[in-house]
Amino acid sequence: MDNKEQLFKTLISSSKNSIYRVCFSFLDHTEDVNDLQQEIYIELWKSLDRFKGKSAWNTFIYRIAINTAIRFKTKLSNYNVLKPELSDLTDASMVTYPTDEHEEQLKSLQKAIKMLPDRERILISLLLEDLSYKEIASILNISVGHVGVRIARVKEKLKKLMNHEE
Amino acid sequence: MKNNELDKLKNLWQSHTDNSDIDMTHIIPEARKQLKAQHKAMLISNIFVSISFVAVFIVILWVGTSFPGRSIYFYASLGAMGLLLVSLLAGMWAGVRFRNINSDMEPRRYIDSSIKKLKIRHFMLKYATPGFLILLLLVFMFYYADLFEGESQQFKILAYGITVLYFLIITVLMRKKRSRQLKEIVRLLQYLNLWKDNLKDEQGDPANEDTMSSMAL
Repeated sequence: MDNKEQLFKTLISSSKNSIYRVCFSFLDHTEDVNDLQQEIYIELWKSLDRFKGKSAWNTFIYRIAINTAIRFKTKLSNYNVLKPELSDLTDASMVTYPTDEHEEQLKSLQKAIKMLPDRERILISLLLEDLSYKEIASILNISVGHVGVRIARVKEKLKKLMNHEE
Repeated sequence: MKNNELDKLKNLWQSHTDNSDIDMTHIIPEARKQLKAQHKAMLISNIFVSISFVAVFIVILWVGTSFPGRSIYFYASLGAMGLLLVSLLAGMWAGVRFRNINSDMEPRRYIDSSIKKLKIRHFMLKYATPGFLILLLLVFMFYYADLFEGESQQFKILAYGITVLYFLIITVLMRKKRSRQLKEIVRLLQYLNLWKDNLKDEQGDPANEDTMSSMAL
């Protein structure tokens, strides 16, 4: 196994859950989530040689995940670009959840996130991945202040949506 | 939303893990294959476009100098053909330039590049394609004017009529597909512009950054 392959496997094993959750927050159907995940891994491999160490690995991987997710969504035909449809969330092919209390809460959170526009879904999922404002700002290359303003708005929206869910 | 509420949500969110087994035996070869194909396509496109540029100028120059004493219409058709091919190649260049947008760039730049790429496609479809057809028709008209000099009026009308009819049929056949493609591009541009607006910095003031980063969650 060469160095690149070794590095790739290490990066995947350390970030696969985060990548999965970002994909999951961004898409509504399980089969799309798996396809997107695979595309992100392929893009990560293709981009590895371009990593110059100017940013953290975390930043590098999240940028690839976000860009690939955006491109993936543009490829989905007949996708409503302006807002997610509530009907999408009750589609039969949606992910199914177990029913204990913890899972119910998780379901409620995920459902609320999926009701946000794409840009806000990404932002909140980065926050929930426990990234700091500074890290999010670095990934998106926007000011920390801007991240703060956006996140404050998204959190309020999410709170309302979750309360509504309950 | 208070700190403890957010922490609770973070724990909840992170409890959702990916239990699927990643098939590295498939991903790495696929990535290698795509990378190789990408490099090959890029190289071939660059070589093809460069050679085409040179060939177009050589051929036009050669044809122009090989038939001395032709009417002004002959040279007009040649000029129009040259213009047509140069615009076509310029469009191809633009396509080659934007073929590969690296996915590890900052999302804002990635979105900007994708928007530019789509805008070029939009321009090519909306304006360049009809312009291309009109110019091509003009090439034929000028060429016919030179070629059919001295022919009967009836023959000329027939030749011009059939050519115009052919172009009309092509236009009608293309219209449906073109409008569908344009609609799709507009949809994608709308989506990417929403992203762009969202990533636009509203807070340029560094003082705000400190306030925001220390703001309680």
